[in-house]
Parts: sequence; structure tokens; C-alpha cells
Amino acid sequence: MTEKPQWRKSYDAVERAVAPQAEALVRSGQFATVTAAISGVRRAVGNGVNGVAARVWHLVNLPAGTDLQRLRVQIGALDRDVRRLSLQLEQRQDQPREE
Amino acid sequence: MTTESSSASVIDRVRREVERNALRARNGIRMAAGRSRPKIGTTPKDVVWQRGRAELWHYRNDDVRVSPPLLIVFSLISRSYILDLQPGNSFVERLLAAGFDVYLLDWGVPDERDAANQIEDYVDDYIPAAVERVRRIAGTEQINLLGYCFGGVLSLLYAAHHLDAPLRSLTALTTPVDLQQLGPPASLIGTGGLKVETLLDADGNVPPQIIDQGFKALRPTAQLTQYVDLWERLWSDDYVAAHQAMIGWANDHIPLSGGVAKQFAKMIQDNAIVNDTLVVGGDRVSLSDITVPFLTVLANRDNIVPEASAAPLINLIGSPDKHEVRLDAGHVGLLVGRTAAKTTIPTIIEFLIQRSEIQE
Repeated sequence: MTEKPQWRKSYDAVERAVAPQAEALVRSGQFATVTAAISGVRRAVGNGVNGVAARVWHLVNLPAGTDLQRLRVQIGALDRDVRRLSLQLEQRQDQPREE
Repeated sequence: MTTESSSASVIDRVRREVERNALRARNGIRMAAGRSRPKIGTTPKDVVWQRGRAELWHYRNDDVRVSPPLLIVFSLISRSYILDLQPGNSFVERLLAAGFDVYLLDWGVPDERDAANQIEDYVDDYIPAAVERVRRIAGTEQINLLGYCFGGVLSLLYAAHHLDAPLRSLTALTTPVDLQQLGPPASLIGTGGLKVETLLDADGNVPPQIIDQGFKALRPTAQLTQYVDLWERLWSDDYVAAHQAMIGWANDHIPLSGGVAKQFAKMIQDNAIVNDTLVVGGDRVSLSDITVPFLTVLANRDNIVPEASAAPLINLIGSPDKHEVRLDAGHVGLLVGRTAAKTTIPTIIEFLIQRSEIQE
């Protein structure tokens, strides 16, 4: 087995020193708080932009992207119901009938 | 050492580095141009059942010598080609060579039609339907079931909720049970610091980017180290192919159904598996009710499913015939590469063969 080059040994030494600190940081309560806050801000901004865009489209009596998303989710839920029913029907057909 | 031999070794080293740099340049250009993408998931198979995005694959094998067949239930957040990565480095290929009749339940890529899916959809509908289809095709009363990662959780819940399931054995590979040991993203969700609803995309699912970022947060320096590893061994064609296949898979997540994500968050908050407070389809279920022969395989350097998360499983299962194998490997290394070839796969094959019939 060939020996590691010097630059790699240096990288490994730095990584060994830095990695535990970086891992401790992402596991800290402060990191959790900041991540949750960023996620909340992102969502609030997205909702705000979507709300304004939806009002504009509704003014000219057209559906907005959010309306279509809602419809797609509703169709998705219906699709799931049909899928589960067909699976349950398949299971019943597979079971031997009692005489 | 003489001056002559010392200068010869310096010349050899310089020559080797020059050659390697030329190969690095060639492989680097190939990678940048996208011309060296390895072929993945190439073992021949047939889709024998399909419902929604889910497909049941039957791998072709003209030399089936082991009965009953083996059904693999894959995870909900990653792609199943990791089990059939490349010829010569494929879990499925090894199982086929050992004479198994192998089926794989692949969940496909969820979209808005799957946003409302619940864990019960998989545990009470899809898995029983797939088990029934495998039995019918193979003409056997029982099957061997193997769950990978989150697919292991689904397999455990299926076995615990369907105590009359026709299982010859159950194998759980790198399966998390202490959900509060899953690392920062799960901790955030477990403490209520992060609401699943804030993670959902417009289609109602958790987008793959969020899952990817969550896993990368577990080892913040790992990505940089991957590039350093690649640079160091970019001269090796074999290493580059394996690296591309493995790193490609590690970055290739799929969306997680929003409904399942919400249920999973509740399971994390309650730590429901280890605290024995699981409810499936309105019924209380307990892993201690599982009595079929059982094998759990976990890795001590797994940063996706940490050892602490998978370790309690063996003690939760009620089977008298239960075994645990802990290996010095990472999450991917458990099924791909040298540890997999030498230890994991032979161990699983041995466990299954001892509980199956061998046809001469």
C-alpha cells in the first residue's frame, strides 16, 4: 500500500481538528433555532409573494398557481383513495372464499 | 542507501506522479464532459406488479436453487439502484449467484398524488399485495423478507401488524429504531424546533433537496473530503467509476410523502419504536410480537442511520431465533465495496440459506 502524500496528511489533520467542531455546531440548540427561523422566513416570504400573485390573477378571473396546486393535491388525495381501494379489493380477491 | 538508488527512487516517484497527473487530467475531463457515467442497476429484471408509483421487480435468474423467494423492501427516500450498483459490485447480483429468487419492491418517485400517503398505505396495502404477488409467482407458501433502511422500518411494522404474515424470515439492514438518535434534522423535528409543514413543497411532499441537506448536515466536512478523496485517486479508472456511482446515489434522493413525514415526525417525538407505543392503522403494535427468524445488520460508521439508532433493535424483537451483525462500515459501505463483498453479503446469504430449502 502506498503512503499518503504530504498534502493529504495535512488535510486529514485539519479535517480531524475541524470536523468535531462543525458537527457540534450543527447539533447545537442555536443552530436549530437559526435553521427553524430561516425556514419560517423563507415560508413567510414565499406565501407573501404567492398571495400577491394570486390576487393579481384573480382580478382578471384567472386561476393562480396556488389554486392549481390545491387542485392537484385534491386530485392526489382522490387518487390515493382509489389506489387503496383497488389494493384492498385485490387482497380480498386473493383470500380463499369460505364455502 | 546509496546516492544512486535514492536518486532512482526520486525519479520513479516523479515519473509516477507525472503519469498520474496525466490520468487525472483525462478522467477529470471525462467527468466534466459527463462521458464517464457508470452504468447502474443493470441486472436484468421484469416489472411483475405495479400500483401508483410502486413497482415490484423480479430479477431474472435461470438457476434458482433456494426457496422460498426473497422480497426486498426498499427505503422511501432514496433510489434502489444502490442494491444493484454495478456489475461485480451488486448485492442483487450476489444473491442471484447464490441461487435466490429475488424480488424488489421499489416505491418510485412520489408526486402530489402521494402527498397524503400514510405509513399504513405501505404497511397494510402495498407490502401485503407485493408479498401475495411474490407467493403467487413463485408458487410458495412463504417468503423471506428483507428491509433496507426506512424499508426496514416498514418491514418491521408489516411483520408486527400482520402476525399471520407468511414470513420464513425477516432481515433488517441498517434500520433506525431509536429515532431520537438520528442526528440534527431528526432532533430538530423531535424537539418541535422544526415543523414538518414548513418543509413541504408545493406538491405536499418533502423535497429531495431538504433530505439531502439534512443528511449532509450530519457530517458537515464529508462533502469536501469526498472531493479530496476523488482528487487523490482521480488517476484510477476503477475508483472514479465507483466514486461516481456511490456519490451519485448519495446525492440522488427522492421526495418523501408529506403524510408519511408528518407521521414519522410524531414517531420521532414519541420515540415510538423503542418506547413500544407504535400504532398502525389504529392498532397498537409491538416489535416484541415478531417471532420469525430475524437478522439485523448495522454499521458502526453509519452517518445516515447512526449505530446508536439501529442498535436497540435486536432487543425489541420477540423472536427466539434472532441475530445481530455489527460491521466496521458506513451506510453505503454496508452493501457496496469490500466490506459488503467479504462480510455483509455472505452473512446475509448464510442466514437466509440456513432458514430456506436448497434445491439440488
